[in-house]
Amino acid sequence: MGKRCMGSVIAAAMVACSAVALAQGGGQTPIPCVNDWQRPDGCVPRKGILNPRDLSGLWMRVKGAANLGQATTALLTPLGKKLFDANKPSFGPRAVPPVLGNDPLGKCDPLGLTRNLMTEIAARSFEFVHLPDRVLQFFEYGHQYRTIWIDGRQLPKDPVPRWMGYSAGRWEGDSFVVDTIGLDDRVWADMWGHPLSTEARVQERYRRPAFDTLEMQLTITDSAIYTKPVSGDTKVHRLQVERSTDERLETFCVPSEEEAFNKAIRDPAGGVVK
Amino acid sequence: MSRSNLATVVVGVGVLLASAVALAHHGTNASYDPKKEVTLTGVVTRFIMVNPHGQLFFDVKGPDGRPVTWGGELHSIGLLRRSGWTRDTLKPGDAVSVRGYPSRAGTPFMVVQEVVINGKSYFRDLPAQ
Repeated sequence: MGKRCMGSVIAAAMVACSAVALAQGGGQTPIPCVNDWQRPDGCVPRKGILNPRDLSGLWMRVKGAANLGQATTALLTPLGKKLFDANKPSFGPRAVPPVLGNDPLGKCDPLGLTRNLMTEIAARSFEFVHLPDRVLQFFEYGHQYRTIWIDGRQLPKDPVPRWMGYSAGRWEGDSFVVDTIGLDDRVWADMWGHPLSTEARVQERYRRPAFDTLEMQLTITDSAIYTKPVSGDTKVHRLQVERSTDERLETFCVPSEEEAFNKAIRDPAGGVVK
Repeated sequence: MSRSNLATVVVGVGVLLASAVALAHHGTNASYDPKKEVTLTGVVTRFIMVNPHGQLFFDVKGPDGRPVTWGGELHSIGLLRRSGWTRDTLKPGDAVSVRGYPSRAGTPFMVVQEVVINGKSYFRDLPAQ
């Protein structure tokens, strides 16, 4: 039998099998709850074999605040308060129109680690990819990523600060614990303008209690800025499937396009024409 | 642009609760008033689908009969795509109805919530489930 004939036989068999499968389904196809931007009523939650030590996949925050909250404001040191007052956010209780503020976001500056971790930009996901010696975490907003080393290495002693810092992770039972130091103090800790210093130490604790659920607890220890460690609420994330492509969307923050947008819409909408 | 292409401002200002659909965005509530929703009809002059903010410009017939160009803030390409938008969704000359929250400063700008063209709705954010 030639290759073409063999191909035809296989194709016919696949069609036949598909027809049988549809017939056995009784005509009712369950609608899967695939994405949080597309969740029809009565959809069936995603199911799979849970491996609590595999965090792979696209995750979107469905519960928990996108900021550290007012309890954090109450813990500011005098230096922290001074920096906080200098930050003029466009979110939260102190929000001003972006044209009157100074949120690094408004110029497409990097959000930094903690703002990315809180997935504060609406309806954005992040993705974990496991490799033998590291875990990569990709953030949809800004098309950014960070590396979490899991090869047992120590964090650097005197790191040169950078936007995403330096991270090392380990497993404690079924919790993935990630410590980060060496953050650039130009970042804001959250969208409300809470500051960070280069001495900040960030710890994330991830836990996957169900196949489609990932929890994360974030703690920041930064004695220059906060009188004691600050911690937001527990963030709960749901496993996503990107529509049709199973791939993260490309969401760069493009400085030239943001600048044009600011001049054309954002600034005059805020009452200022430069 | 001909007057026939310019539709009228149809629906005035209404007081609504902030939409549950609205997703937090940079400065949205500081720059725009979600309690004063407006729906305007007009004609598209420019539609720009870029990151991190799409933009829609459309002419609306003002009180004196002259066209007033409104600017509408949209989301990024990714979120618009999730809501069904493409680069060809709007073209210059298209007659549209645009619902959104107007600038608190009183300038002709809004953060767009919904665009209706040829009877089909396109949301800036994801429709409520």
